[in-house]
Amino acid sequence: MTNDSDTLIRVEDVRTHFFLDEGVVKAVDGVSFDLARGATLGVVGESGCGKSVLARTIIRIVPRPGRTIDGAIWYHRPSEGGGERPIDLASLEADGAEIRDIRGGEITMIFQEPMVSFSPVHTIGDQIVEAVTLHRNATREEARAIAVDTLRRVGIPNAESRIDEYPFRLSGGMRQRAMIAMALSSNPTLLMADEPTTALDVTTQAQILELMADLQEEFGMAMMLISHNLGVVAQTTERIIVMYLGKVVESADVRTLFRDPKHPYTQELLKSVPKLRRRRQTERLAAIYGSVPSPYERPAGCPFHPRCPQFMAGECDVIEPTLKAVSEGHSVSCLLYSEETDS
Amino acid sequence: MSADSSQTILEVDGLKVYFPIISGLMRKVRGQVRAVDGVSFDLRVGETLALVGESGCGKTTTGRAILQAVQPTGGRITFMTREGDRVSTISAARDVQSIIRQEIQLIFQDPFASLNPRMTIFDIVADPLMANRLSRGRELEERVTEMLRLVGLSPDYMRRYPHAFSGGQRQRIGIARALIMNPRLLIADEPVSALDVSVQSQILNLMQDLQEQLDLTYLFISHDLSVVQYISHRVAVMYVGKIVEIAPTDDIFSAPKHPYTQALLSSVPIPDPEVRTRGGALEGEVADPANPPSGCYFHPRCPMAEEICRETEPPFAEVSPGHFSRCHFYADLDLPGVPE
Amino acid sequence: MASASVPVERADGAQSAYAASQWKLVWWRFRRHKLAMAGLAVVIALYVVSLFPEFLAIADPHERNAKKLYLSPTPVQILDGWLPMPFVYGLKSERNPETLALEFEPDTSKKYRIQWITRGYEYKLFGFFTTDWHLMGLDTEDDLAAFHILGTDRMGRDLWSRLMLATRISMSVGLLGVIISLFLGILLGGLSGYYSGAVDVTIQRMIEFLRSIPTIPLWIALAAAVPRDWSVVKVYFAITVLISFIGWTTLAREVRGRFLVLREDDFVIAARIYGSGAMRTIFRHMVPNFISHIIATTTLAVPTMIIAETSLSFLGLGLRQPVISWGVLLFEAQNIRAVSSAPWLLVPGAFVLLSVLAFNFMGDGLRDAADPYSIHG
Repeated sequence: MTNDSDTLIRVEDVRTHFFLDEGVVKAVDGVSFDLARGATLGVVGESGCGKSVLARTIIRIVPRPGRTIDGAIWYHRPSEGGGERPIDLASLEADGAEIRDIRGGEITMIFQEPMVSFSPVHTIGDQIVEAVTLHRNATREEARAIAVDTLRRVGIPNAESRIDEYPFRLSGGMRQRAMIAMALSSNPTLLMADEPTTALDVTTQAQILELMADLQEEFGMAMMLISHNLGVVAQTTERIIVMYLGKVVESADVRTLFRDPKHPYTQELLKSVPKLRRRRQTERLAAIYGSVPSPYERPAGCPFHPRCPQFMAGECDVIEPTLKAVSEGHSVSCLLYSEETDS
Repeated sequence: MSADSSQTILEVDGLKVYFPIISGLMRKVRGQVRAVDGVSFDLRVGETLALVGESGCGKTTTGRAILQAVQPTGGRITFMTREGDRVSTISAARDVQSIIRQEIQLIFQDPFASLNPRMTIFDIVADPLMANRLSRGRELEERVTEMLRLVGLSPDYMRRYPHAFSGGQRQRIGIARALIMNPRLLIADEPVSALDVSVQSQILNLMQDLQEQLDLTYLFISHDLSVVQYISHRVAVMYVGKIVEIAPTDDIFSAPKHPYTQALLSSVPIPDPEVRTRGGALEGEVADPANPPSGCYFHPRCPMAEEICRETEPPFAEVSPGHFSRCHFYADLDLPGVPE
Repeated sequence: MASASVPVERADGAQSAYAASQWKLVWWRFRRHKLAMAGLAVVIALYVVSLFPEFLAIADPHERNAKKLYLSPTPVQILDGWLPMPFVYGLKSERNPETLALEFEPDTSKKYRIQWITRGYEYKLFGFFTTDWHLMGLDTEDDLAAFHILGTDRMGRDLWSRLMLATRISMSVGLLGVIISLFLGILLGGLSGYYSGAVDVTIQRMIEFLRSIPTIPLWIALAAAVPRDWSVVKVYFAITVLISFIGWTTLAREVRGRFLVLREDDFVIAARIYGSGAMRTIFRHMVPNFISHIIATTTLAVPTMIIAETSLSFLGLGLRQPVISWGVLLFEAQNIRAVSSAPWLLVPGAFVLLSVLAFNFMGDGLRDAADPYSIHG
């Protein structure tokens, strides 16, 4: 473990498995990445790739029967007198005092459907005030002032009166704004957003993405954006990790990833995304052969090999590739790129 | 690809679907949600018309009204049968209804909810024929086999239950069920929006192949403009129960004539970090169809709104042949469309 | 390692799961629920008892014996020396000089071996076949050879044998009551859910009215209305109908709720669009999708019926002698003195407890297993 002053979170070989009657689902299976203070990271992948479980693993809210069985999550926690103290979140008690202090305070999360995250029987104001008093040294009056202020900053009109509304009275977009306000009210070091705009309409999505980008700059926190939508991550993040069946297959900064994708999965994924152009497109869309396999029947070797156009028989279905750097800050987990190509 | 052939298959004229707002113990009608409020368009044989808009704009209700799954409040829907008869789908006689049921079918959005989990694939695909007593026994089995092959599934799996299939495969099963009645018009309600990106293109390609093979006409309902661009010949944009713009696909994407269409185009996050889409976001939210604003429904969010927009509803004006816009300033608008 | 190299094809073992019908899937899930499996075993055992109560009985449950009042359970000796051949000792009766009560003591000089599958009193199996075969008994006519596993009651009748017969009555009241409730529930609930509007409102208000009446007083009133001179069979049916009178409301609500949800499901809409008629849609598409839930709810309703019968009979308002049910047996145990001197009279209570718990565990397991597709969210 290094002590870069820049690093906020270093995830090392984390594994979260779900022990079900039908078998073991390796939702997150040996994921490693770094996230610098104030940086933005996009986690991209199709359904079942483990991207949401990864976020839940970090704040230790993996639902049963899931368990984090291996790996470390080094969080460089700012300490009182300045400076920082690295702690391994994976080793903490899942509902112990320390993780509860961090979760919802220093590391917050917003979800796809904000209605589920809000309690329907309390006003949004009460819920934000509670979060603030729990994680910041504030009286209820101060907390309420903070709440009104954050609601205003996320663009909710008439924040002073809206604060006393119940969540169901707000529209989808407003609710997502309130959710963001709650996540920001504790001044987090890291904001994780799990498909924050998937349930929203395009025009509302554009508003929310813009808002999140502005707030990220304003608050200076790190942001981890989980999405299946390549457009969303391309527009909002600096680094991207691509996941497939619980593993990181490629990791690069956003421009490199979109301009020079190395992993066949990333390449195919980018090809199959419909692109907005000025003319009707008559050529056929590229499609990836087959579909994501059932989590219980994970292919041996490289998890992508049954769908891979560059499949090498006798290698890809036998040897499990590991993440290797192909250039500065660009790693790929594919047998096409052997260690010799290391530049 | 016969979009220019003049043979019309469906005419929707001034379609209105209002839902009453009922409340209280006495079930009093307090108001009306104008889900579809005077929608008109026509469909030509072999073409794909996309109906685009945000949630609550009435695009799904329009589709359901054509299928007689909801009762229209007003307007006319005329369908041209295979035999060349013009029939009205609303309050049609029983025998006409049965023809319409065979010739117009629906593809659903959610591949999990749309298949009966208690039935095998064979039963699901065969059910339309069985329900109408059109086929049985060996013939039925052959027909199902044929349909499954057509949508790219192995007939070996037809004794399995839906839970054994992935989302993409289920969507193929749903398409096979829709096709077994040998329809001419398919209403596809967000057929790919619940699917993974990599599977989405498979289904879109399949739909295009089927259209060519079987000379199908599609009404493609979607919120996703980038998908629409691959499949449709024409696009109709809906906002709060009304069509605000309808035009050939090229025109919609390169020279839109309604500020709302432009807003939709600029809101799509482009999967390319070199092209920034930020900064074009619309203000405010979609109007409430139970209580729409005065004048042009879009005026509270429109960056170009003027006094007239608040007062009078704009006419549905023809910009160029086949291109209509519901904007007072359609003639002066110079909107960029999709960024170059 | 290389053996796992054809991942696109599913393994044979997995294949069966994909072709499994819903009932198989329900059973697979149910099997994993250990408490529910235990409940199922107890329920099966109780229904086996209800099928052959006379065969399991030792003595005629109606035969009185003035010499053996309140006899405590007979200690059965399992081992005779080293041999596993169970026997009982004879009885010596002595009058207690102080209380003047007749007291019994084992007479170790007399041994009676327990016979398996033996002849005893005559009865009609299923009401048709006259037979005298029993599971166990003593092969002696000696009156002082007592074999009362659970002792005797105030009239010297064998409690074990009575309990076996009571199980038949109590379990069948539960079952019959639930079948009637189910019929009413599906009919009225289905009508309510399918035709919304006036029919729905009427049925819903009726259910609310019925449910707002306190059950015990209602039952007491209704049971009091059952004529005293009715035959035993008539009373039995009257009580069953009475009990299901309230029970159907829960089921009707469940059915209605399911109907309302299913009516808007895509696959039901699809069926309507391609021209499946109303009845066909209901029976081919809707009913199979909630029948497993109904079965689970039904299972959970059985214990309510059992308890209702027991309570009524316990209060002396339900079934009466000579019908034997758990409630009737417990009615005998009302007297505090009887309970303190003959606590074995409370054993029927344990049966009530056991059956209710078993049904509840089983119902819970069924409810969880009822939707084998819930993994997909």
